[in-house]
Amino acid sequence: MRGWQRGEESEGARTTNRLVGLALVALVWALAILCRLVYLQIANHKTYQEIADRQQHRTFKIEAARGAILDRCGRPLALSLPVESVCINPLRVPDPTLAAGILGGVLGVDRQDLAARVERAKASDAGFLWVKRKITPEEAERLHSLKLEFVEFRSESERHYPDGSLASHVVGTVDFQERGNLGLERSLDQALVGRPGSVRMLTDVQQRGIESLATSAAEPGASITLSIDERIQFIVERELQAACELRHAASGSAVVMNPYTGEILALASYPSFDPNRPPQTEADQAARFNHPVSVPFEPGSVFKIITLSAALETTSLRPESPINCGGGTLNLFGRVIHEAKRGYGTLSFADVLAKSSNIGAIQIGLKVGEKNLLEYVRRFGFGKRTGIPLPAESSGTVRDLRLWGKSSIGSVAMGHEISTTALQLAQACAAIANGGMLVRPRLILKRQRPGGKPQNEPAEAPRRILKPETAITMRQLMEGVVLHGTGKAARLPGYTSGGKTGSAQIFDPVTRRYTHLYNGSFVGFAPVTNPAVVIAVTLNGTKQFGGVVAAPVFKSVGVEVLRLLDVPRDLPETAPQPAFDPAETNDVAIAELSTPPEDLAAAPIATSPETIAAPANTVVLAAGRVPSFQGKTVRAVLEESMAAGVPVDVMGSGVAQGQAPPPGAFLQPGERVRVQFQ
Amino acid sequence: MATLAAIFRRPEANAVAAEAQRENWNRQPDPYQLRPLPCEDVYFYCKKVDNSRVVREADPLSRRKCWRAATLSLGAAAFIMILMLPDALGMIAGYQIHSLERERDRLAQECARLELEEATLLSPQRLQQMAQDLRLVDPDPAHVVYLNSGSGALALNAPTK
Repeated sequence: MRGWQRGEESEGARTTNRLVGLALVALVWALAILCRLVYLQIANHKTYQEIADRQQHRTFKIEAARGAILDRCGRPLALSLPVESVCINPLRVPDPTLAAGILGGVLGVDRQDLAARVERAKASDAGFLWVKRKITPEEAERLHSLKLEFVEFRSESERHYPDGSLASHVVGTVDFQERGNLGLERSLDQALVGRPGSVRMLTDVQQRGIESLATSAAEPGASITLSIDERIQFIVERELQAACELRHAASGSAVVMNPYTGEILALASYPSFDPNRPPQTEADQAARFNHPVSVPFEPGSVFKIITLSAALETTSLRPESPINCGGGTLNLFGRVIHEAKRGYGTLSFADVLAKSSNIGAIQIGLKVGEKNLLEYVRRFGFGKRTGIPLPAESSGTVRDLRLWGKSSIGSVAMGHEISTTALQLAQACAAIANGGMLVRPRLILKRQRPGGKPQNEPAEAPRRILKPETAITMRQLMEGVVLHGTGKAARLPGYTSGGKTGSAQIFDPVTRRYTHLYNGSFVGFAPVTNPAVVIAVTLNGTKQFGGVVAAPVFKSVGVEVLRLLDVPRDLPETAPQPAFDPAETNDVAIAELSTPPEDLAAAPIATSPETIAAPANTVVLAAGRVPSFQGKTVRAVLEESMAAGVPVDVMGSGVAQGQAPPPGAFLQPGERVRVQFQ
Repeated sequence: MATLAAIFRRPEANAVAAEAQRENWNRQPDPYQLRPLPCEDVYFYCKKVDNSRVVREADPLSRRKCWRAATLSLGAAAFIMILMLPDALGMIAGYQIHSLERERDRLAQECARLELEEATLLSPQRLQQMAQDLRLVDPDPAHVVYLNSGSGALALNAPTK
């Protein structure tokens, strides 16, 4: 029994010793771990923190979507899509040949070239290599499904122009980095581009995001709504292209403008280009010239409307005043000038414009005088930029009076020794069409940040440059050009119209002579009594006159545009069209009288160029007492309302029977007078 | 079942075996008797022990210690879990947020792509081409009927002559 007890005691002691030993081992183990933890987390905390951050945290750049460009009805003309680009870390590629084979098969890139690039990057210890940028969604999906460790994706955006070449000169293009390099894409780049953001993300071993640690939100670019109407733009481009191809013109321009607000409804340039495709040839580059804005030309007889407007304002000449055209010959300061076509004896002031008599225009210009003529040229906005927000706008050329020669007044009176753009011509014609107010062309209606309210673009207040009665008289004179003058081809079925043809000879800098190629132009408006649109068309380098090549474009564009704008007809559509004789359209301005354009270009420009971002004011609408329209015809009401600067809505036809607000009431800005006709 | 006592009381077993052997010497050897197998003389047997009447002695102190240890262990485990729960839930939520963000981006991309497709399909050039393919033409002026939009008139089929 004692032995058994002794054995039990010794066994208990051994157990205790074993437990103590085990506890010591555990303690040593715990101490070792503790020491290691102290070493890792305290002694070398910074180093391992950096390593952990590199492994666990990734910073992603969030691309800001470039703002869309929309037409006036909200149809997209340019928009951006987010796309992915593929890059790799060559140092993590185990087998360059195998990797190139996989990526080349999925992305359609040359495998051997890619393998060589990976090898080179690996040899130079580079940790980044683009494989393919802006891949398609299908390629991205296939590559994502492979889950390759060395492949990384970068988010980018790609610009698309769904309408192709439509309004390409206005909208412009972007480069590979999505920065604007042409058109509005360039001039409004700051507003469109937005601000990229970034996010620092805690990721797991499979690079899946767990937590966003620090984020600066991306600010997408603003969407820009233009005054351009996609449908009208299409019609204008189609007709301009057809005319240029038919008449073998080197280039062409067309502008459609609302004469009251200055809103550009269409702005077309020929030749056109597809902004979705980068330029390949010099011809592609040349097609990117925005002719109606950037390329000035001698306007020719179109400019006679300025001369005659100045005459109506500064002289006692009236539409019926006789003008001695000298039978087609004029001695101007010792130089004998002959009419370009058969001579006229005496023409009325109105017929000088209708028949586009050069000698008649010179005689009128002489009556106006150099100083007054130059004053009105400047009033109409020639010689300075219109301020349209398009890059490389030309101001045209208007020489200072001290640089004029003796015969310069004759040249300027018929549109030589001066250069303008098609946009400037449209602006000048709009001043006549709207009753004498010079309006600044508008291309941008509003801007809108995503999630924000649309902000209307402020418009500059129009400036009166002609008396209303002068403007109305000029409209009637320009209607005469279409009815029985050189612009018969511009007569619209169903609508009255007015305009002026122009044919200026093109100067050849090689031979230093004027050629028999013309800048054929037509600028006009419709309907005459209450113009809804102003259209300026120019075809450069044609062998025919403006009345033959440009007036038909005005007609085909005008008819469709007025229908689209729901403008009521003021003529029966089935009215017979006048007989059209191309010989009657000869309105070539006498070029030999003029200083060559080269010397003109060398001369200093009279006006200083305005900056594109000139400060703009808000529109100030005319306010005044409402006149009485009782018992008057539609035409009389429209003429009187235009003269008074009172906008009217015509309801019905016949004679005015009622109106609201009543006569004598004060018209608030923005308010219109509704006139009921029966 | 052989007990440890049976196994380890070998001397006694050996004595019994020697006595049995001596008895066998006195007998005539059987020429046909087989040689004994090793340890053939060791027998195993079962010993039934009835513990049904054994009653465990009550030990409240040990029980309390036991319960306390169990409770403490569970409490510590629960405490650790509660401490870790926000992080775990945050991680799960992070995965969900990341997944939803990717889904949002994908839907935005899809929306933009569809918008582009719609704009492309509705482009005037395409509509013009389709109209030409279908041989649609502009109506003759005599066949166009203009409705007075202000009078609220309805569209009517115009008789053509």
